[in-house]
Amino acid sequence: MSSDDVLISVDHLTKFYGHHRGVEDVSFTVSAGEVLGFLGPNGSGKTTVIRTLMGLIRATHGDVRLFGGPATSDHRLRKGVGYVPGRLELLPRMSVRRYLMHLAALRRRDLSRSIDSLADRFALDLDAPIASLSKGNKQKVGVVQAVMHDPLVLILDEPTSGLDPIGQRQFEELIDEMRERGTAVLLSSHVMSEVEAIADRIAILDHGRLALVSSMPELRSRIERTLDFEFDAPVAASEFSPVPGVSSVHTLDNHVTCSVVGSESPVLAKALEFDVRAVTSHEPTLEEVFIAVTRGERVV
Amino acid sequence: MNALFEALVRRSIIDRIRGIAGWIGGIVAIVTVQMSVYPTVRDSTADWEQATESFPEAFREIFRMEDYTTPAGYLSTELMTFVIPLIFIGLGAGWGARLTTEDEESRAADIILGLPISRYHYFAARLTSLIGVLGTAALFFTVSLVVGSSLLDMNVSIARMVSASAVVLLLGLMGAGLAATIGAATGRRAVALGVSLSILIGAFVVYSLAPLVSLFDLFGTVNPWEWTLGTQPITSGFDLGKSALSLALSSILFGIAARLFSTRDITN
Repeated sequence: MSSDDVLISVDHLTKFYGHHRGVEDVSFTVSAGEVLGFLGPNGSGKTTVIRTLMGLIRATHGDVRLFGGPATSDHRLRKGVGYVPGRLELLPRMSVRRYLMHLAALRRRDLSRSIDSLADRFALDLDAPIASLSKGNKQKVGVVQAVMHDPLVLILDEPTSGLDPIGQRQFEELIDEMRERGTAVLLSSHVMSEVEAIADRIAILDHGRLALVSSMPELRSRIERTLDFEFDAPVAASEFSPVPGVSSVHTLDNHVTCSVVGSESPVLAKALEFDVRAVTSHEPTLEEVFIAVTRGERVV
Repeated sequence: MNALFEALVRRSIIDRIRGIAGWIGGIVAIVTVQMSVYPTVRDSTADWEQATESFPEAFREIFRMEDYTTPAGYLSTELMTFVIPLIFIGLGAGWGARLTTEDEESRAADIILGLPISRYHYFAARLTSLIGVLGTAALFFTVSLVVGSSLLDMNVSIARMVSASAVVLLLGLMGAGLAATIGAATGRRAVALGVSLSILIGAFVVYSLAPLVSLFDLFGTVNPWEWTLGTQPITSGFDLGKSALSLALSSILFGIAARLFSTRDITN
C-alpha cells in the first residue's frame, strides 16, 4: 500500500488535559479501502484520538492528518469525512428529516436522495421528532448523517451502541460496501464480534499508549494459543517442551496439548514425527486477544 | 448570505423563536403600561412636581427624576433608568452566554463542529443571529415608543427615541459580548451568564450610586453604563463618541470570544 493511499494518519500524538494524560505517543495510519478496529478499555484514550482527528481538541504534541493535510487546522478536509461521536447527541427540537437536511445544508450539499435511500435501508421514520426516538433509532440517525455524503474517510466512535442485531448487521454490510468503494474506516467499538467481522487491522490502546497495531491473522499468530494432538500411542511431554514457540505441554493418555506462541510450524513438524490421529487448534478470539493485551499477557 | 451561514442563523433563531417572542412581547408590554400612565402625570403636573420634590434627594438622583413631569423626562425615568436597560442586558447576556456553549453543553457540537465548518464561521453565524434578535427587540422598542408617544401627544422627537433604542441595543451587545467571552473561555453557559450578569449589575449599581458616592463617581469615565445610559439619550440625544466607545468594547469582547472559542478544546 503506497503512502498516497493513507487517508488517516496519526503520528506520535500526545494529548494532555492539564496534568492528566489523555494519550501519549500514539501513531498509526488507515489507508483507502481499509477498516482499522480501534480497541481499548474505557478511558484508554480512543475518544481523545478520534476527537483530535475531528479537530474538536488540539494535540499537545504530534501530528494528525486527514487526506495528508493538517486535521486540526484545516476544516475543509472534513468535507470528505463522516463521523459518529461516542456520546451522540442530536438536535431534539427537530424532526429526523429536518436534522439531516440541516446537516446537508451545513455541508452545502443537496443530499435528499441519499437521505431517503438510507432512511429506507435503516427503516428510519424521517418525519419522527428526534426527541421521540429510541436510543437505537437515534444511533441510526447518527450513522446516516455520517455516511449520507458518501465520505472517503469514516471515523466511528462506538457507532452501534444501542443498535439491535438487525441494525448491527445492516451497519456491518454498509461498512463492507464503503470499504469496497475505497473508504478508510476508523472503527472504535466494544463489540468485539463486530470488529472481528469487519476490521482488516486492529489497534489496541491501553492506558493512553498504543499496545499494538496488527492484522487479525498476524495478531492470532502472535498470541498464545493451544494445539491438541491425538496420537496412536502416548507421547512424552519432553518431546515437545524444547520445540521453539512451545510455552507449556500437558499430556493425558494419547493426547498432548501444547501452548504455542509464534509460528506453529515447528510444533507441527515435531508432531509429524509420531503417528498423529487428529489435531485440534484453538484460535483465540479477538476478545481473548484484547484481554491478553490489556492484561499484559504474552504477545510476541 | 451563503447556504451554510443561512442554515446556522436560521436554526439559532427558529430554535428560540418562542423565547424571542416572549422577550419582545415583554418589552412592548412594559412600554405600553408605562406610557399609558403618562396622561395621569401630565394632567396633574403640579402635584407630581410637589411629590417628586418631597422625595429624598438621593432617591431623585438615583432615578434621574429631574424632569419627571416632562414627556422626555418621564420616559427617561420610567423606561431608561432601570427596567428596559436591564431587560436588554438580560437578553444580550442570555444569548451571549449561549453563543458558543449551547451546542457544546448539549453535546450536539461534536457533529456540528465535525462538519467542514470553521469555528470562526460558526461563531459569526451565531453572532449574526444574536445581533438580529437584539436589533429586532430594539426595533420593537422604538416602534412602541413612537406609536405610544404619537397616541399620547408626547412630542418627543423620533430621533431621541431612536437614540434610546440605540443605547439599549448597545447595552445588550455589551452584555452579550461579556457573556460570550466567558462562555467561550469556559464552555459553560451557567458560568457565563452568572459571572457576566454579576459584573454588569455590579457596574450598574456603581453607575446608579455614583451621584451619591464620590468613590463610585471616580469610575464614571470607565463604566460602560455611563457611556450608554449616562448620556441620557431621550433628554440629551445621541452621544456618538460614548456610543462608539461602547460599540468598540463590545467588538473587542466578541473578538476575544471568537479567538478563545476557535483555539479551545470542545468539551465532551
